[in-house]
Amino acid sequence: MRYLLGRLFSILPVLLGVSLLVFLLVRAIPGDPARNIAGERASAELIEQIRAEHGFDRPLPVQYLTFMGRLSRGDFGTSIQSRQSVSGEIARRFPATIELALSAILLATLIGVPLGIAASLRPNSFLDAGSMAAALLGVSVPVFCLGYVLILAVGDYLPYAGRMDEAVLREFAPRTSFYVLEAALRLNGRALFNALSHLLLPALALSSVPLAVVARITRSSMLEVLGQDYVRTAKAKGLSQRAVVLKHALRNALIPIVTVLGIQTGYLLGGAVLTETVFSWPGMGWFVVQAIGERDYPVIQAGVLLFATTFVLVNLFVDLAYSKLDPRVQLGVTK
Amino acid sequence: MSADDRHTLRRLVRHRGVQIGVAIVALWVLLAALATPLTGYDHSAFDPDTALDYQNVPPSWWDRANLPPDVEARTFLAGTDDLGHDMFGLVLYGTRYSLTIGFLAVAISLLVGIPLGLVSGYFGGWLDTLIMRSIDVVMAFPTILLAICIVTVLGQSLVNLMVAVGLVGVPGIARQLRAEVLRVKQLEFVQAAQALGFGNTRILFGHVFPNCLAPIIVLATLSTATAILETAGLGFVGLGPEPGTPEWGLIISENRNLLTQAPWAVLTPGVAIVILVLGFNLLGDGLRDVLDPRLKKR
Repeated sequence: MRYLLGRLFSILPVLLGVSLLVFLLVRAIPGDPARNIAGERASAELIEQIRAEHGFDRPLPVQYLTFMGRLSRGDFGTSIQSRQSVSGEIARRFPATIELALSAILLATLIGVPLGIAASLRPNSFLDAGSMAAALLGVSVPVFCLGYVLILAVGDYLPYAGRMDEAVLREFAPRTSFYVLEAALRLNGRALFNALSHLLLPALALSSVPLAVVARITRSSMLEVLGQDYVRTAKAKGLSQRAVVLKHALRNALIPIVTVLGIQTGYLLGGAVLTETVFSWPGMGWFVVQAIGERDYPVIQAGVLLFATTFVLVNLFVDLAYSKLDPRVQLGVTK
Repeated sequence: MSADDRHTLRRLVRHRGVQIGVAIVALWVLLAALATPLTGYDHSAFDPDTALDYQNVPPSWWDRANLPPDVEARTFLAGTDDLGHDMFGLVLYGTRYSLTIGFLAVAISLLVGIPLGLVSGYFGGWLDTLIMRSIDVVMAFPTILLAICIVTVLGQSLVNLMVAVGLVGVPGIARQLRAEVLRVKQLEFVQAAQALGFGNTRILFGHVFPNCLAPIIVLATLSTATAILETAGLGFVGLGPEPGTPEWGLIISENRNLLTQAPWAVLTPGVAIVILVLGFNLLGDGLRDVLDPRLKKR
């Protein structure tokens, strides 16, 4: 518990640094947001008025403190473009990105780990060489290319734009933006099936890199563990292959795999930017890229901050998971 | 060259991944250099008016029924797009951009990352804390989003694209090098140099850095692959070179409406990216196997 508090405390400076960097980066973007709102031919007074309204005329430190003060109350400001509250926009779009990223990491784990195990059990076999070649290909394909290949290959059978068909969406009338989760909880089979079918292609495209990385790390981590004495002992006492592999080897090979999964979430959030563009997926990544083009300060700040916070928190979780996976890792004990 | 070096070199030359990787990269460099004579297509002399007769022509190995005879008479290895660009020629010209941006971006990563990693690892203390905490902050950003922000701040241009892709790679280099320096500076020969009263600069560049090179070479090669992917990603979201430039990501983005009508116009640059990136990845993995077996796990 004390360790947990300490760790939570230790990510605060990182998050503060992130907020400061985002704030400065956004302010450094050339172009005047007030002029963007007012339009090309607006009078100087109008632009001044807009500037004062949004607080752009105040000194930078004051702007930053205002921004942080509001942030601590959960207020992300108002979008310059849509004039809606940014928190509302995030509540609408971030769940779409979360569903996409989680499905991708799920696919990567469910396919990557068994593939890596299978490859490690028969090193240098056809299966091993084949799956590792596929994994190498997986890390070499840009997600947007893979997206188009998937659309070309199975786009006639599976939907590849948006999160749900219009008609189904109207009937479903979701109250949250977690369509898959909500459809499952409300036991709405039609909506669930429709949402899942829309999710499949973007999730597949996004999962290619994490899948490949997970398969590779599982293989090498398993190979290392399988060569250890206790695995030989387990085999010698006549345990089944299944018990040796799953209970004795895999459990001890998990730490590098979990670490990689944590690091990959960073990639996933970034990859979501491109995947969402290809599949017209109304998530945060796409939203932030549009906001950068429109100089929509509050949206960019909130979006990038959200991505960075997610990444930091996921990796904190990964650290905490170590002690569960390996009792020898004692949290908070320093040499 | 010592016996050790000769041994390493021999293992490198015999490594299958290194062989294939070098072959792929060398082939692309050659193709990029010889783009004009190889394809008979001069991108700078492209004439949109005469090219209009050759819109969306399928590749020569595709089903080419129902083409007018004068169009059918011309072979396009990878077909043409809706403006009549020869895709094969266009993609070969694009190689020049990808290779140049990839190499120079990694050079920028190294130029900034190496001093940071060396100083941080060797001197330690508050400087180390400052550098590493700053790197933690930068690493919390999704790379492509950070690159997008940097290009937007600096303004959209080819040079700024390289700078953005390069800067995004700095934390990886700095961290890896710092870890290496921490290991090497414990070794006896460094302590001996310190005991002899050598200056820090001399120890750092004469003794520590040369012994940290192997993982940096590996990382730089793999970073080139990443840099090419990131460049294509930035081109794809419209933050790369200006429209009309034969940059791979940009070509894909400009031709994405042709996906069903002329899939070759999207797939050709895609395949080009995959092959080149695969080449660097194979080379990087091979170098790691030979130069730095400890890294194999990652």
